[in-house]
Amino acid sequence: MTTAPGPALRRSNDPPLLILTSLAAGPKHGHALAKDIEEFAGVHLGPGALYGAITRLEERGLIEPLASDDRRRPYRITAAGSEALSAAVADMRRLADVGAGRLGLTLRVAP
Amino acid sequence: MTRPAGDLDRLLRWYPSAWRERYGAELTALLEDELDGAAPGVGLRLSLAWSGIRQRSRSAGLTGDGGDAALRVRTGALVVLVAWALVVAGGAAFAKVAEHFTRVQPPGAQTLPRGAFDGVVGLAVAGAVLVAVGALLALPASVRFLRSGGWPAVRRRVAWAAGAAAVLAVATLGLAQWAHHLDVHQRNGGDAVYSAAFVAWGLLAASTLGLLTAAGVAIARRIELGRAVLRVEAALAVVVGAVTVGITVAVGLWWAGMARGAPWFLTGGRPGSHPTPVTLPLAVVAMCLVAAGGLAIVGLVRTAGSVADV
Repeated sequence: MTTAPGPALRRSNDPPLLILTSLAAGPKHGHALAKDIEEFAGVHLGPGALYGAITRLEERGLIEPLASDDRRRPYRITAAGSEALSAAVADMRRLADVGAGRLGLTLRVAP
Repeated sequence: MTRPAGDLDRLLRWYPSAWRERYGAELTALLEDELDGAAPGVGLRLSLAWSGIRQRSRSAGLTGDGGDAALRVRTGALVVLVAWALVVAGGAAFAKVAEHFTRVQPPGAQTLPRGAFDGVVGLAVAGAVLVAVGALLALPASVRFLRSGGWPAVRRRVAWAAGAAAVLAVATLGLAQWAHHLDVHQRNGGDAVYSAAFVAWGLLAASTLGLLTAAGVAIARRIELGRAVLRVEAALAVVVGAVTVGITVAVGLWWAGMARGAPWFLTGGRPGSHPTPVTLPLAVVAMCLVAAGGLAIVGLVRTAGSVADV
């Protein structure tokens, strides 16, 4: 897994969180997931890291595969996955609010 | 340009077969998309190897907090069993290295080594009894497994172990007969041919121990253990793990005591001399025991950390 050059303090690059965030926008297969994550987070998840995270997420019931005739099997986020992502986003939001408040910044919500 | 699928499939050999069955085709498709006909680079190969090894470790219950707690406990206990086999091999070599150390003069030089040696013996007996109890507890489940059609899955490993044990028994009898016709000096390095045969016997014994352990692990991985039995096995594994670490520490103390009080004993030098107290046999013993101690810690932590979830 590699990250794009950026500031000294980087955004979260936890693969399960990135995958859940990507799938929150709709089902995707492996390659589409990797491209989407690279686009919105600037993080390139290698095939090994991506499928390691997909395995763990599926084991925990946070994502599920969709039926497919193609080898490129799409995945979608489950209700439990949406709940876990919401909790993680709320945690990050609290941290971001504290950081922004202490720096006197105004946070904008991405569309 | 497209690459033959077999080429990419080979990259997935690091993953466990059950995982490949489930995700292999998807991952191969992803690799085809990412590579777009190019050859996989060294970085990608290493990354897949590392991911595959991690997945094997997770699938075996060795790492990760998810999955079946019983599998994690069982794997931790089996790691302790492997550590115990290593400590038996290292301990046997230690017994040879320490032979006749109580004759060392002055007697004051023996105080720490004697205490440490008695500790090794006591811990070894305790560990052997606990391992035997663990094996006896698993015996009914092992018999059920073999009777219910499990034999083909373990036949090869058991056959190898049994064959090696038979060869070792014959070799031991032959060596004992030979040794009976030699004097003390010849048995302790004076006869080069006998010394070479003894080393070969030691290697055979270590290999047999390894094969017996592998057969035991192959069966233990497949048997069905009830919750209560698994908990007792877990407790035994934690104690045997601690005993293994204790033996490693006690052998270290013995060596330290001898190195301080009578270093010539370790190298076979002239009494009163001060040679470097590190020899090849001691290095072999140390490697076995340090590896055993490390594995024992991994196994007992894994077992103790997972048993509450069973």
